Amino acid sequence: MSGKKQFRIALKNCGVIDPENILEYIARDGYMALGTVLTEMTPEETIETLKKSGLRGRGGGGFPTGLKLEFARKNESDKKYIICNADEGDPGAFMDRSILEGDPHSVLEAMAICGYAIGAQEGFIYIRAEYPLAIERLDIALEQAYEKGLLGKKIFGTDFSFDIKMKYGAGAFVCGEETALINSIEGLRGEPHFKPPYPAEKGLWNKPTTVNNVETLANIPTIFNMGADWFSNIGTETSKGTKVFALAGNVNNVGLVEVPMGTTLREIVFDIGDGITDGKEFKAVQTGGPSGGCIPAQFLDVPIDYESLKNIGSMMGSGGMIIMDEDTCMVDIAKYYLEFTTDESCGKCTACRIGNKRLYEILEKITSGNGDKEDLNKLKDLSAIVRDASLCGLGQTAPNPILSTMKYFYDEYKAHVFDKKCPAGICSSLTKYEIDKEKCIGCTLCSKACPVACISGKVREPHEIDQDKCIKCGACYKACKFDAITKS
Amino acid sequence: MKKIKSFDELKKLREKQAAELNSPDAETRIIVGMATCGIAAGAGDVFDSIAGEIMKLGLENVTVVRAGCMGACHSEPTVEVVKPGEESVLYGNVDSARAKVIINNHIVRGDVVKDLVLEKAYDTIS
Repeated sequence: MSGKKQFRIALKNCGVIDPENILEYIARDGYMALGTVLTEMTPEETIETLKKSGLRGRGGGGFPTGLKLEFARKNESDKKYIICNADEGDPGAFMDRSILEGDPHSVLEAMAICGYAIGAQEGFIYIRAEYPLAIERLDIALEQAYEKGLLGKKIFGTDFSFDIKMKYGAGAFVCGEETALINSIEGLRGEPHFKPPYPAEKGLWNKPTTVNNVETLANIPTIFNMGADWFSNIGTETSKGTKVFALAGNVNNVGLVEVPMGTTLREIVFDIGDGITDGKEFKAVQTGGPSGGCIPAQFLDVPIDYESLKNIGSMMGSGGMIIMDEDTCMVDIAKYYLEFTTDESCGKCTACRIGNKRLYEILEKITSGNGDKEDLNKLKDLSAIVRDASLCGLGQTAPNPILSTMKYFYDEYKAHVFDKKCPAGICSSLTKYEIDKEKCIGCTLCSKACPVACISGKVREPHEIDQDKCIKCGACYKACKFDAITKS
Repeated sequence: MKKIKSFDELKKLREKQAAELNSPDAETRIIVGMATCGIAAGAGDVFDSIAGEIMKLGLENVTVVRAGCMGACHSEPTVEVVKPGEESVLYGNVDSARAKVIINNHIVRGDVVKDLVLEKAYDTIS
């Protein structure tokens, strides 16, 4: 390594090879891992290598991949299945899509390796139909892999055969949860069910099944090509290898980044991300999507791994990372995520179906200036109930955006409730625009920008905003060249 | 396409492909980042412009490649020029006109278009 902050394993071929040409993948050691595994290793040794590497699920949970395969291996059955979970749905996340569009063969190769490990002959890629280019490139990759005999019957002349089929999802967020995903493939309603039994025991069509995320799979060929020890030397004590993040929000270098586990948030935001846009102050970083939380500046130096993010009230999640500057209202952010989970709740559990709706309504009340002290208590109590009484990860983690913002940005909640003010000036009901008569020179720029014509005044004389008509859009504030309009 | 019947056949094919790619006589590769993100930023036009310019100038031993995401969303569309035996050069914020400049300056005359160069922000295996 040359001391750069980023190190690519899962993304090693992305932007380097032509994903529609299998020969370019082969030139960069493609299908070598599958060859090694099939001709030189037993399924047990294959699982042992993955266990030794320390690879953990990149979809969010962080379960050890080798162990997951071992459970499915030990369950005897006439049929078993491998599923690739490509139902990426966190707002602002695009890691899996980028891997599938840039290096589809790495996922196919890894699925075949996992199939050999557990004794499965069939795999499914569950991908959302909103990813047409990823689907197109996967289709081409599948076709070429079959033509080359790298999938199908008797691969490399061994007794191992493996087929992969695509299954399209309709984009329901809950179908990223493995039991709901399995239901969806079976043609049932996309609802989760109670675990146990885990998919390793009774998964797809009640057969032992391993469900792995795209990024997890993309790491697997490299682990066999470079060795488990090589892989486990990267990262922290509990989290090995690298993690891909989709860096988005108020940061200069938005992009797809891959860093060794243990990299700090500060390195990601300020070195790789080159700091906050327009020279503004950093306020928080949101990780883990709707299941995660907002991390304030005091934790910028925490090394990122599964445990440390959990300890500070967020989670690794699949890799969405949204950077927020000083002009972000944290109550509004919590409301945004609750709106998302309310929308995406499958409705099976009452706590999630109705509880999240009530949480959203309380946040709506607070951001419109009608909240009272009791609402703050209700938010906390109801969050605990939704967390404890929901069946799947969606409901259990849905209150996290509220809990973490209340923990670290309680002052903002208090300002909304007691002072009826939004410190960031985002919540329109609590924002007031006024014209400073001393500074206004009557240039009329503001009245021209106003979409509801609520600014009056003669040319070269101070103007005035009719507060009853004002919709608080901020157009005048942006238009004024003399700092004569104040926002409070 | 011929089927690969054994692990040895794969190893031989890999040797051959890797040797072609790394040989001093290999084609110059102009890689355009064309995942969904790049295409949305206009990489399709950039690709067409590069392909058109290569044809127009009758350049030989130069190929343009559609690849996936290079990760630099902040500077899409991105183009990487890989000449055999030389350090590759990554360009950002490329449009159709700038793509032609890259072809005429970098590919034809060997002059890197410094204004558009992006620092490659990562290390990678192999």
